[in-house]
Amino acid sequence: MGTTNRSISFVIGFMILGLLLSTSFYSQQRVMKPEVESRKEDLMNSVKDLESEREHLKDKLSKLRAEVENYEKQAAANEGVLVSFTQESEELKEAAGLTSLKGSGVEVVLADSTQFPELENPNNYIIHDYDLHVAVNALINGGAKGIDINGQRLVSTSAIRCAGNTIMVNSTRLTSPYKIRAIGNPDRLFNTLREDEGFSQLSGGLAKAFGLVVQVNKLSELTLASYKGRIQLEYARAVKEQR
Amino acid sequence: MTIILPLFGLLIGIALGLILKIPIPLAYVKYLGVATLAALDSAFGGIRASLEKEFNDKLFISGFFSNTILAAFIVYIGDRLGVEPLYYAAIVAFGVRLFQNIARIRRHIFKSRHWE
Repeated sequence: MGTTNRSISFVIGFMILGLLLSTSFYSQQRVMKPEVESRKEDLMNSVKDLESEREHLKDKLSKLRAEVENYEKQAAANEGVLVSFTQESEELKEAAGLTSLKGSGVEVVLADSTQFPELENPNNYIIHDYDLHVAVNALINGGAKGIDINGQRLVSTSAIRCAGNTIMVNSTRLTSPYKIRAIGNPDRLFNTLREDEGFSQLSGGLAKAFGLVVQVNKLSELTLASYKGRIQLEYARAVKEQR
Repeated sequence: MTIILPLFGLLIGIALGLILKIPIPLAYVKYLGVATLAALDSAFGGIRASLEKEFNDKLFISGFFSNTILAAFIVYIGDRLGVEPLYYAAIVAFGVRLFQNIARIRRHIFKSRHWE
């Protein structure tokens, strides 16, 4: 048994020990910081990227729409037959929320509470998607001709839903405070909100109990931006009706 | 001289592990931990044997590998059979041996330097 053999076996043994130690150490780091955590950051970044890309595409879309409108107008000027068609198209666009609207109306501001007592359910202290449903439904009931939430125009396909600690409207994430603006008769909208059972619960008891912010202001003039999202229907086809 | 070579090997091994970052599936990390403990025990056993002039390279290498692989395998079998406490059996067995080895190494150093 020579010293060389002994040294070699020692080196081999300790090398493997070192390899095992560092691999265990590295693996244990991964156990303690689950992959979910590290993936979360990647996913959040890709969400941000996609959102900015979508904003860019929306701008492009509204430019193209304006172009189409221009062509329609030119065509209408050339051919008298198309005048009525263009007019109808304008009216439909207005009703569908594809044009900016201007007029009198109301503004409803809903915001999370500033107090967050530790021992209580934090859900009581924030504005939820269903709070927005209540306000929007009351406004539609009050004859609103156009509604937007933080600049997101509501159209026939708009959804208002909870997404983590934000609320998605037209697949855009919104955070508190939520400013709902509606065009219509200010007095009528105001009264409908006041008489609405759900909304008066929100503005009365709940707002007082949990410190939620609920404000309704009448506005003599406001402008709603047009809807900029997709309008093509993928799964629905119109049924031709006899006129 | 005898201390430098193993230390050198240890450093190379650690560096290798940190560079390679071998992706062990999370479910097997536990077995790797037990295997590492067994390797640690064998390494200290080797040092002790060397100090006590009983070192045998074949015994050391064979013990090193068989202990490491067996430790992980026994825990794995335990998990498959629903006898999870086998994990603790392996840890206690190797842990106790590790401390005994270290104690004997300490005693040997004391003796050789006449500190007693």
